[in-house]
Amino acid sequence: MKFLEKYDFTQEDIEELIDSTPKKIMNGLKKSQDLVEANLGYLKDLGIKTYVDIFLNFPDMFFMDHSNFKEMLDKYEKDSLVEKLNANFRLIEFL
Amino acid sequence: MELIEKLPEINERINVKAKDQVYKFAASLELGSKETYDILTKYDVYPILPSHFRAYTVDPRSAQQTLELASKMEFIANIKQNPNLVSCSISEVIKRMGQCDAVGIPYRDEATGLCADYIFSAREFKKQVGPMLENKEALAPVDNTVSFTDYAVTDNDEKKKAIKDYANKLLEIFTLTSTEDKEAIMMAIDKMDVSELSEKEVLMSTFAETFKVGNMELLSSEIDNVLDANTLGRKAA
Repeated sequence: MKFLEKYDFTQEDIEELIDSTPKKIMNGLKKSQDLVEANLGYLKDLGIKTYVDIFLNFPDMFFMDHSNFKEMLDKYEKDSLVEKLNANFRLIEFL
Repeated sequence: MELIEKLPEINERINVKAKDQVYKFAASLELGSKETYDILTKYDVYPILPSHFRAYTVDPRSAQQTLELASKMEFIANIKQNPNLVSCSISEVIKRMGQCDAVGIPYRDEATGLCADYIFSAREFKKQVGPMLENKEALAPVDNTVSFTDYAVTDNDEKKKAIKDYANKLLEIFTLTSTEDKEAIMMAIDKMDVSELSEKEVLMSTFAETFKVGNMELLSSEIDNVLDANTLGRKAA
């Protein structure tokens, strides 16, 4: 999961991911690295500072098709979305 | 794919507000196994939110072991509330509980019986409990006058040697593998007068005291397993 370091994941974050994520999901994340990176990068580039927490808590959401992932976020006004997700990352599940 | 067919059944228990979010976590239903679904159902563990589908991707054997131990250690309520906790490392959870018990940091809500979230996450534990542990450990009195190698040889040395071998096995079972854990339990055994006690009594007392074990039933059954395995080994030999 070295690619996560590019997104400023610390070693501790990566260890947490490995410890709390089922192997099947971990293998999927590795196999679908390009898709995962596209979704993760989009979230980070929007200015959502809680993207590490979002990834650690909802890793399987990053298997979403990139256009659907974008669509899920783009339907909200950007500043308001960023503010809300920075305040409570768990809201992403309900967007 | 086998769980996609179960979706209508699974969906019945999903929070109404989250029902239309299922598509975001469909990958977990696709990767999940029917066997794990059956095990979770047996323990009354059901996804409440679509993000809980991930629990179905846990290896069935591992899910079974985790749920068994969670029942014994009385934190299955946490898993019922958040089924994704079924993928946590139980040995690490037990270790964190032990660390809290040792310095008196509460982690269980007495009213609900639920354990604090940090018990299930190394990252959160370090963040929330780490500073408290450092403070409490700094305040704890340190006895520098003896070390476990300083004790005089007694008639019970042979018995203690056998007990220490069992203790080593138990340390592995509970993944208490640090040098400090090992030294603490060896010192406790060394300090004890074992002449009038059975091997099990010594192990129960030293483990419960040293690691502040709350679940005596689990400790007792693991000790029995270790002692039984040794008896079987002797018989086989």
